[in-house]
Amino acid sequence: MSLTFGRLRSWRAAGVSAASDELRVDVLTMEKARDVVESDAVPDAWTGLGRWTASARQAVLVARMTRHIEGLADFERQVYAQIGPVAAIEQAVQDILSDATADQLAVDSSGSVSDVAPRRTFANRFELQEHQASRQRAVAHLAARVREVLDDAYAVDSALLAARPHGSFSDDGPDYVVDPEVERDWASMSDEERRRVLEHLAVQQARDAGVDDFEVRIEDLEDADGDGKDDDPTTDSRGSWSEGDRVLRVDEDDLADPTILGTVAHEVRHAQQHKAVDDLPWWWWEDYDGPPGVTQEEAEEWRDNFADYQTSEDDGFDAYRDQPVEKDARETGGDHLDDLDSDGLDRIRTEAR
Amino acid sequence: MSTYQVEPDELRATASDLRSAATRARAAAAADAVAALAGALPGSSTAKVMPAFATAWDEGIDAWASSVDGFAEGLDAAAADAEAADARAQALQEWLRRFLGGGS
Repeated sequence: MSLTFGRLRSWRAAGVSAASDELRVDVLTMEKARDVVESDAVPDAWTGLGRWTASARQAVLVARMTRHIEGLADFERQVYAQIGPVAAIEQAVQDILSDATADQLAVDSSGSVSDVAPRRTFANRFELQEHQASRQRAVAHLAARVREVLDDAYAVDSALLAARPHGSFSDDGPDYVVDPEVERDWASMSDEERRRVLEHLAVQQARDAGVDDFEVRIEDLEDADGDGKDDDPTTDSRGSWSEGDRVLRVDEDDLADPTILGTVAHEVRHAQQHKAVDDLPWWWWEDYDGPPGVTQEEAEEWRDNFADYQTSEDDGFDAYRDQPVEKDARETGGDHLDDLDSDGLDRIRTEAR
Repeated sequence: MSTYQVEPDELRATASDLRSAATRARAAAAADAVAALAGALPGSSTAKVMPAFATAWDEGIDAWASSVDGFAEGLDAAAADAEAADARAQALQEWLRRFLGGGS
């Protein structure tokens, strides 16, 4: 868990406000650049095929920039909306620290509260007990305020991350981004519970994808031969789908990483891709009846890709990464993480018990 | 076939406007704004993840601006073509005028 009370001491609303201002200037600058392309790029007197080609190119350029501007403008609005909450967090942290000092309490960077008052002597046991109870109440009260301000900070972080622009120029950004509150909750779970959640998630998603009759195994994928050494230190095997024996494997060494939730969705998608290919009609008069949400064109593209599957070892990482079945599965894994908030994880945890 | 019914200078002026727009777009570096955001919220996932997105956005904007520059180059080339065509037509007219004038 990366968000701590110690880190919150350095949160600054002024910096958020400055970022909002800069983003707004960026958006206006890009709008002006886009508007020039939209209004001037193709002179009115230009006729013929050249004009048609130029107009098509202009439309693509304008659409791409418009999509990016809209996403960035939404993000800027969310950044602006968080200035107030961050200012409140900044104030709350200062209040906690000053109240702690006044009450002879200390708050460490992890948010733990301790009593640092000098020892006192009491005339009798009753006074001692009264004093101890009062100090414990003060510690508990301050600890609750620390938890509250951390919750507020997670809400800010979660809102900002969810508001990031999707698509267009964001396609080359990180694939698997976890909601901060999900990350916090995942960190609090035992490996046993994580296993249960991953298995439940795989079964649930497979059912929604129209995939059945398979097994989930959470095992050491880096040391498949069991000799105690990483089989291939140059690769990180987080999960796999084996169509031959119908096993969805998840690497147990990655259990602590919440992006493994996206890996499960990714591997279930591979299972669904295989099912879609299996469901392709044999004869031209047959109708396609594949899994939900998968078109016949997609299934045909995947069929061709599976027939010419690119591996990192033989074809290089880029060829592996950019082939249709991997791009599609990666999008599915990323979308799953984008849609998963702490309430969603809570539901899965409850169902998995 | 393309036909320009505008002055080559007008095409070049449009190309120049497009190049300015490309330069302007490149100046809108989201990485700076996101760095400010990350600095204001240390320890957050936003601070951890957003800089990589900002880099991707800026690379996307740079690629977009390069396409706009390419567009402008096309207009410049078209202006040059139009001027060359004008020059050829003018030379032909001149030749015809002298030829016909000399033969009369």
